[in-house]
Amino acid sequence: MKLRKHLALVLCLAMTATLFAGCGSGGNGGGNGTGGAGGGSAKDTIVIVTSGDPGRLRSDNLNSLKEIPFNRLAYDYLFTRNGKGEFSPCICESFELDGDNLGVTMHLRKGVKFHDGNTMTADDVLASLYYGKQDTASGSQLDFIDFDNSKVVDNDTLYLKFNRINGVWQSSFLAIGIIERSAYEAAASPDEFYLNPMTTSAYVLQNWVSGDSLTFKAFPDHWYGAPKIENIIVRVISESSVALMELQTGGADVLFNLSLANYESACNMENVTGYDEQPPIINVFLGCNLENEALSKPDVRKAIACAIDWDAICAGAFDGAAVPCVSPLGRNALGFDSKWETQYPYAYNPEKAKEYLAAAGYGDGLALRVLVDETPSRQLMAEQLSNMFSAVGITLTIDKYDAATTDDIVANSSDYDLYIRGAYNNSGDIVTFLRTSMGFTAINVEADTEQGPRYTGYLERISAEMDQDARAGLYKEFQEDFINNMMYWMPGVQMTIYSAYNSSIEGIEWPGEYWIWNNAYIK
Amino acid sequence: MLRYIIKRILTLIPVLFCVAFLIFTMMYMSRGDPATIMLGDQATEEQLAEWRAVRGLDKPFWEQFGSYIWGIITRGDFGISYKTGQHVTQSLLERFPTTFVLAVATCAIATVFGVLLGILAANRQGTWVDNLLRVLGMAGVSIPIFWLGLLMIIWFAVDRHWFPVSGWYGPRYIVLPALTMGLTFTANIMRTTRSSMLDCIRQDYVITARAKGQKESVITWHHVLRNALIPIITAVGNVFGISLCGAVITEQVFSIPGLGSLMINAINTRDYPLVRGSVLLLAASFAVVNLLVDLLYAFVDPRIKAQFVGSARRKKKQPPQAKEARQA
Repeated sequence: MKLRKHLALVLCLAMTATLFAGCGSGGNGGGNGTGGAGGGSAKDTIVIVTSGDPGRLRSDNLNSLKEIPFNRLAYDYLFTRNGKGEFSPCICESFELDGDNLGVTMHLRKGVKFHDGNTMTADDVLASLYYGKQDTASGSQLDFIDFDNSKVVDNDTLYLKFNRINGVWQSSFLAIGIIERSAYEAAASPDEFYLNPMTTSAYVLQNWVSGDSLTFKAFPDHWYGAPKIENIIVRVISESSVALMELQTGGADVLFNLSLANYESACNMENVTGYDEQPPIINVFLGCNLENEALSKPDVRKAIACAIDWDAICAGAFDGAAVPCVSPLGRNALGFDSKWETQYPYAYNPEKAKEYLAAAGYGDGLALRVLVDETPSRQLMAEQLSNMFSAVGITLTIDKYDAATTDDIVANSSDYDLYIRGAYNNSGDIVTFLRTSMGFTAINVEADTEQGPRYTGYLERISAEMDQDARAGLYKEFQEDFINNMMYWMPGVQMTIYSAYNSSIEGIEWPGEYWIWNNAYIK
Repeated sequence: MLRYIIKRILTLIPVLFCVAFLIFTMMYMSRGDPATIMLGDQATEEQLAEWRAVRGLDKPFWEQFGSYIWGIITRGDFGISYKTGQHVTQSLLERFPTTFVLAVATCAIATVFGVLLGILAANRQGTWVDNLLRVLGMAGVSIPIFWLGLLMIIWFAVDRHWFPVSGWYGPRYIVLPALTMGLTFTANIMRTTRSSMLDCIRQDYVITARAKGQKESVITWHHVLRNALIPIITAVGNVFGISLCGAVITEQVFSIPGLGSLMINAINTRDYPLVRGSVLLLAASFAVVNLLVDLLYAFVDPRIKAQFVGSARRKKKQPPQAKEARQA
């Protein structure tokens, strides 16, 4: 009997010990890195919250919205872009285009160091582009580079040959980060390399606990100057309310992409500063299946456009954190025509919508189905649309699925009429964006419809135009035709990006879509 | 006993095979193209096709399933995650300890509170204490975990700063999530303990013990509780299994890098190998917990142990003719 009691006691102690030992680390790091991700912010450490683990540090992974605050921690790029769509030099300091616009000579920044101390050369940049094309989804944007005829001129000069004229060639480099060739080739696989890539960025990845946090340490030899904050921890917190409470209790220092309600709560907190000047780069729009007989008629699409009260949707579904769009181009995009602010022909007007429907032969009513993913604001938007449509005689059925399923249905089947989708990167020179994210269905459908080539025709002409002013003119022409005739999707709303950070952090730079931390410091 | 354990472990094989088949089929049939999710809108048709071909997703169902099972049997290979390129086994091993520790802590809290409160309710049957505990038990079963979790964070982390808000960096971080899940499961165990205790309290041997002047505490702990343990152990086993499999919401609320959050992300990104591996691991864990519960029955109840021993002895004592007849 005594033996059993002793045995039970020993087992209890062992279980307690296991508990305390087990909760020390969540994964591969065996610890929580510098400063402790959960230990609040030490003076030399700040904590940035992200909503999801990037899986691997591929440069294009980090260009997604949720990774924007720490995008520049891990990579440097050839160029960056400000909120107005203008390019600024980064690794490429200057360039000359060939006379025929079929090549470019890039003069690279001198003395740029990789994290292992090696100096970056033009060969590394060429390899970055080559492997970036292979390994990243954004790599398809580099298909205009003729790698066989591109060459390293000297350590600091790179010549890239183009196989076609590409007016937006600089945009194509925005998602491809610079990596060290020898380190990449020495890695067992690309996945292995992107677990801790050898780059030239301002911070060096020290520790990565899968699903929990990434710890970065300042790289003193960075070309832009040694970062002042020693450690930056990127913590994964998927629940926005929990992230807000972390900010309140000092467990986090920077929150990104907050809802308006959370942003206002954050701004009311002591020692928290709000930031809402990030260029709005997310659009939520209503797409049409052009293979649907009714929706293939422009009048039906115009009727839908007039039936929607976007102001009410911004106030209701988006809680005031969005503004209605008046053009397929965002307000920060190159070539946005401000005349549409006052002359947009599809202001909310149910009577006009009924007239359009009657003209299209659907005066007795029309039944449509809308696909929407699990995002709460988009589901609310669908509910609002249903009410608005019923007022003009359109019966709207809402089909709710997860994002993967809705995207799959839109891309690979015709089993839908309308779909609500979000897309980001709607600022600057957005021809790629119009071709991929916004042309999600238009491009797929274009081969089967009369309207398609018209849409892609504009994009081809814009891409082939080297002069920026001329390109802006083409964008205006495109807007005119799109709004008056095409309306393949309803431009929807442009979401405001709200961020909040600990007021003791100063010196953050927001040159455009990205956050630069080199000169940030803690008071 | 050993024979029984081996037999149970062997029965796990077809169970896990069926689970593997079901989850493989479900993922195969579910909509959502992993190639599009992983490569994004900008990928070309050629890139998408190549991505699928490299991962064997362009092959017929039976070929895919066959090579998956063959990989598990011959190499213990559960595949490679689409998102990270890491072996699924490695990803699961990184995350499983966290979920296991959370489940153990949850189970410990639920068992201690549930059994104590269940005993109290049974001993005070029909009084206000019993009624209050029954109402609390009902509330415990009904409260959504995510709501309770957020309340816990507000009360104990934001307002009082006793515990951290979220994360998984040391013993202090385990308290709130374990309490959140533990309190919910306490209600289950309390209700089971109460009803099981009430069944035993009415037995003749308890009346006899009381008539002999035995102390009430001895009657409760020695005579009643020991005989009421079987359903309680079953309930605790269930709680442990559900904690392992159902920590998804708690892990999301408290930002715990466990198996649940890994599985949710894997489902959202259609990371088939990771989803299949996670489900198989959880199914195996649940089966092992059930086996342990069965073994515990024998440990706490001599009658069940006697059945094992008895059947073993009977087999040993069989006359040679009977053995031959059985073999024939």
